[in-house]
Amino acid sequence: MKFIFIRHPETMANVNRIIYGQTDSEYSPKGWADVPWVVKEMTGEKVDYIYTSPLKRASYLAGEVAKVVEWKDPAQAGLREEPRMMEMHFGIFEGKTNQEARELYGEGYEAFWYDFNHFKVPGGETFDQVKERVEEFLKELLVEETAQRDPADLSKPEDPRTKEERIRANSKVVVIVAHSLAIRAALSFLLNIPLDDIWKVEAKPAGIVEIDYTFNYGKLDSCRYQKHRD
Amino acid sequence: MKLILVRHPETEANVQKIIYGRLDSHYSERGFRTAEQTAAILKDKKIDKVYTSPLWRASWLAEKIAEDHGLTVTAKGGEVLSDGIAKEGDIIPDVVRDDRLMEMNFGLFEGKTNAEAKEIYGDGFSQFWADLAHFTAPEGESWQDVQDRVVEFMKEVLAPEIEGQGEDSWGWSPLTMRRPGEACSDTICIVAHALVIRGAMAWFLKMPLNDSWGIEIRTGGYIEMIFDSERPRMFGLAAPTV
Repeated sequence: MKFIFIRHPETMANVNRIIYGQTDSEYSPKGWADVPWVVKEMTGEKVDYIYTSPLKRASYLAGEVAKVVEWKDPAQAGLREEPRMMEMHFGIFEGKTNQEARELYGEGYEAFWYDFNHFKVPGGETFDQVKERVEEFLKELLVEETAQRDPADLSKPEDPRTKEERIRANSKVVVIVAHSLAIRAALSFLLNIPLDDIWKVEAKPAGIVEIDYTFNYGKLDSCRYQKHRD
Repeated sequence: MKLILVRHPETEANVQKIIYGRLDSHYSERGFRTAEQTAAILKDKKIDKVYTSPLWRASWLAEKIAEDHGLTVTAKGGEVLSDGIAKEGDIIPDVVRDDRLMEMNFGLFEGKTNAEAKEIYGDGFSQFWADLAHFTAPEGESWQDVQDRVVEFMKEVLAPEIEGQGEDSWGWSPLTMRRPGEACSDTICIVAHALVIRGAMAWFLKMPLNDSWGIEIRTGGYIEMIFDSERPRMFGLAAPTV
């Protein structure tokens, strides 16, 4: 399966440095400027499915992308909302600035930054919980892809390609528009990189990350982004 | 500090699917086109210093990148370049060659196809690519040897960012790391080889070496990483499509 992850563009909450996960936010001017770039990059891309986090900052961009891709099967065309790709829930910190969150939480707040992976925000999720739900969703896609494979496809003696090449050629292409942590959780699963280390791979706002996942082996193919983000 | 790790473009040896590391090879036709494209993409980026493996297939591109960014020096005479020896007074690209960036030494397999190498080695050869990290090529290196020297090189380059901090501390808080403004704001470009770059990425991402095939670094492709007051991270991976 080929995954194309797209992180939503920069929002006003990013600009105002507000902690937010499942609270929504409008795009900032830079964010709006990135939309045409993503659309251009995705124009004509052959796609089987497009999934999006239901949060507007993702689903708006997903909608624009859905208009320009080439659907492999027109009967399957259309945007699918997937709540398991929503951003991490930040509980009582939702909508707060760093300062406000510190006042709310009190002693031990620093662990939110230096031990983020294990920090449990009251009323919110942990990073592990995000990975659990994302992994559950991705596994469903992968199982479905395997189930839809035609066994006759795998053993054609007259076909000079290797089995792996044939499988890759018939791979499903799935676009997933989501958020920083949800995408990192997905990469952690697909590339077999521990959550503790996945911080070292970044999907920039409005960035596109492509992964080839075949035979339970994930390969990071590209991380692209609009030039002004360098 | 930013790093741009670049893999040399396609060579004739790549086209002929020959095992080669220490042996050098010139670009294929496609390789030359890729070199132009990679250089053009990197021209848009700020680059302050260029390091390269001394092998021609890396240093040719490295010199082009350095020239594109105005990184030149006046030769003292005798400097080795990809197209000859410099004479005193020549204006030459300012590129630092470092032996630790050379590709793995494949020993007796150098210059052989997989089939020929198998004949030399015998039955155990199928383990070679499967467990490259630990398999020492006869009269050559193992991938682990490569990673060890590459990491030594990387630590020197990254010294301004990690002075006083061990590599274990990279997972930690922006509250305790250096403030912006104190950090080094240079972008360093390093031109090298597939196993060298994968070795660096495996160390950086704390992946087992054999798992780093999972990062697709194509010929002429590049990886971008940033080390600053937030957590150090990789944010770009691309290759020109020729």
